[in-house]
Amino acid sequence: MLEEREVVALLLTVGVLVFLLVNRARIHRLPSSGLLVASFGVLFVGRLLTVLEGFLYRDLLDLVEHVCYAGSAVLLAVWCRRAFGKEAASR
Amino acid sequence: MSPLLTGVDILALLAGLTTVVLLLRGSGKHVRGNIKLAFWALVLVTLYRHASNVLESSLNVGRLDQIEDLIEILEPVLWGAFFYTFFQSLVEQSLRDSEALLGETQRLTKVGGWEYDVLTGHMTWTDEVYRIHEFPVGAGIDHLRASLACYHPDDRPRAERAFRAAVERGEPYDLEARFTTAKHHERWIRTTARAVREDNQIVRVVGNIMDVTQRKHAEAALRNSEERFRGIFENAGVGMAQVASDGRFLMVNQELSKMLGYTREEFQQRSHDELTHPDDRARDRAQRQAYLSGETSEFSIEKRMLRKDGTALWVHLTAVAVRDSSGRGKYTISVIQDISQRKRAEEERFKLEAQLRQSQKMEAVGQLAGGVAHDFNNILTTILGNIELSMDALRAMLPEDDPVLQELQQVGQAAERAATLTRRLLVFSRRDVAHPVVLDLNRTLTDMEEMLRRLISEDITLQFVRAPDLEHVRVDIGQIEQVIMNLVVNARDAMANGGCLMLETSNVVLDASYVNAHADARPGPHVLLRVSDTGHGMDAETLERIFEPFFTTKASGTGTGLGLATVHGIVTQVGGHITAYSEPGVGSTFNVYLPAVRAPTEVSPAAAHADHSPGGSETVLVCEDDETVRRLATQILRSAGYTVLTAASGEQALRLAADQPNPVQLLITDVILPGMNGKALANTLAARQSGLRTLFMSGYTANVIAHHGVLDDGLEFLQKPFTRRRLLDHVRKVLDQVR
Repeated sequence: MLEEREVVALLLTVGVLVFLLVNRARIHRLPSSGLLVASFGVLFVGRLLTVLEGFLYRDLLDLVEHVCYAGSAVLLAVWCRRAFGKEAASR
Repeated sequence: MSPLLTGVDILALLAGLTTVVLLLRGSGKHVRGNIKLAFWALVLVTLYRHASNVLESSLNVGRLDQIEDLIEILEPVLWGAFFYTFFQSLVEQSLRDSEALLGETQRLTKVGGWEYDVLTGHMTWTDEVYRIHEFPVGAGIDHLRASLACYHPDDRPRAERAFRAAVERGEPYDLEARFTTAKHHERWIRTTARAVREDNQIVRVVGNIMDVTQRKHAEAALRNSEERFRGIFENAGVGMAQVASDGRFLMVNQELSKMLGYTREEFQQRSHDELTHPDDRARDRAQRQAYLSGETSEFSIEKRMLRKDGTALWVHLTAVAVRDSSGRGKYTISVIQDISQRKRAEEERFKLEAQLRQSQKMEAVGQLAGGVAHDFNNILTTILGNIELSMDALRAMLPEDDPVLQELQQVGQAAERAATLTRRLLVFSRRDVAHPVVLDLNRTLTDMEEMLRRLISEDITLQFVRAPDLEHVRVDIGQIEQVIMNLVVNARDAMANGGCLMLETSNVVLDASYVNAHADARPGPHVLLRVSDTGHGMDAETLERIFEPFFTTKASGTGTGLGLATVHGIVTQVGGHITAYSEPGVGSTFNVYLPAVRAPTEVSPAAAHADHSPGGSETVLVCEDDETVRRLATQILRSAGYTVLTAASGEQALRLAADQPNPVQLLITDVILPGMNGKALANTLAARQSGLRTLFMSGYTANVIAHHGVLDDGLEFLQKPFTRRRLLDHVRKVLDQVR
């Protein structure tokens, strides 16, 4: 079953992804950019699975979707520590 | 709900909380503004979602649809906002960095930028423009007017015109001008500008201004330096040249051009090698290369350079290299000094020194010869006189062919040869007493011609070239005959296989330059006697030594080595000068220069009295320190009828003459005596007794009665060793002289 809010959220996420692709040359200038992009990428996968779970493997994809959110949150926390932490300040 | 799902959601919530804690504990303190705000928003939104997920899965709480829908939409938007602000901050940072870099660059290069808004009339300056004008940065001034006021009054109209042309017609400009800052410092500035158009309308003029004072000062210093260098280079009293490392002339000064005769353009088409004498080229090249490669620290050489007319010029060249960063010479500045005069002077000096050494050697040998001759002639006088007396006595008792008489005759001949040898020694050492008379050298040659033809062999052609109006010379006839004889004999010996012998006479004038080059020559008119042969000639080494006594190239026993030394002595004694030229295999030429005299020729006094008979009855006082000579003279004179008084010294002779009742008619005295010499004795006695005549005798006069070998006027002299006949002849001649 396709929910409108989930599609809108996915489209917005795709929009951000496109924005990143357009500015891909600048991404590497962000501190610990790999972690940040990975966090966003995993979130994007979660958003995708949210839409897909309405059509197939509902329980499984729902679980994977939540795992993606959790992964994205962990990666963001690590990025925050690395990018904004004391080491970053000294750099 | 699945506990697994709940666990995952709790993990996500914990991660979100951790992020919040990290932020709260200070992470990201250095991050300011929108980035931090966007990140906080993102973190709180995701935290809310994780929390609602946990509530949904664990407590089975229903969806907060409206808020969750908003969160679900808001989350990607916040991600986008977060990325956007991040990128924006990068752009801003980059801009700030660029501005800082530009500002620093402007400060370092002293270039400031400005912009003039044509529509509003507002002018904007960068910080550096303020600094160039020495206004405080950001000062509230009328920029355009303040800037124009700083220009030098002479340059201001030009700057104003250029600015107006840019504003009104869009003409770009680039000008340099003198400038006085707000703090009254004099500067040079360069300003450029161009117009910016929009819709074909000039809306702005942008430009820059730079402080070029240092460059201007450097240019002025360089210009001054170049002018100074060029002034020194062009006006130097020595030749100067800039020479490339391959030897090409790059630049030469006027003096060098004058020195070698090439124009500047001709120099530039030639290399140093081409203008160096071939004999000096290798040495010059080697030294130059060694210097340019750094093997030697200096390059200084004396060498010959070639003038345009092909003649060689001695120069002293000193070069200084201008090197590149690796130390190799790029080019050299050469200073070239003409040292030809110095070289000539050195050559003259060497020649004169050699001549001086030769003269000193001759003088030393002469002194030795004179010393020996004095005693040796006394001995020979005794030997010859006694042989003569003995033979006279024996002839009365023995037949003419008796061996004793013949042996005595041989002893006499040997003594005569010894006397001749002694005489030669005195002649070449210029200590022989000469009797110079004025004569015509052509006449002498004519008188000798027959004898000379007999002297040389038939395969030698003898030629005479006599100058028709030859000047007279004052020489001793016997000596000049000996000169001619010796030269002819030497020429004959040099032409064993025949040849041509030529004797020439001519009038010459020796000038100052000739005299400067020949130490023993004197300026003035001379008679030249030239004796040339086509014999085997001599090498330079032999030529240098030919006038040395005892130097001979003849086989042992055939020459004494005194022939040319005697010639040299005679010529020098009469104030003349002799030179010799010779080339091996070509022949030799001897030039005898005798001072010319303007006087009529004289007849030799010796010839006028040749027939006087010996013997007489006058009283003769003989003063001689050598007992054997004194006894011999006494014996000869008494045998000829004279009354003879004898004394061994001048003092004794004075006493004897004073005690003598009858006047002494003739004093015969040795020149060199112990105590009072012969001349002093003669003067003293002549003062006491008028009419006294004197005959001097000596083996060596030591300048007492003769100077430079020429007997003082009015004196009579008898050279030792003498024979009975010569003594009696001289005595009679002196006694018979009419007062």
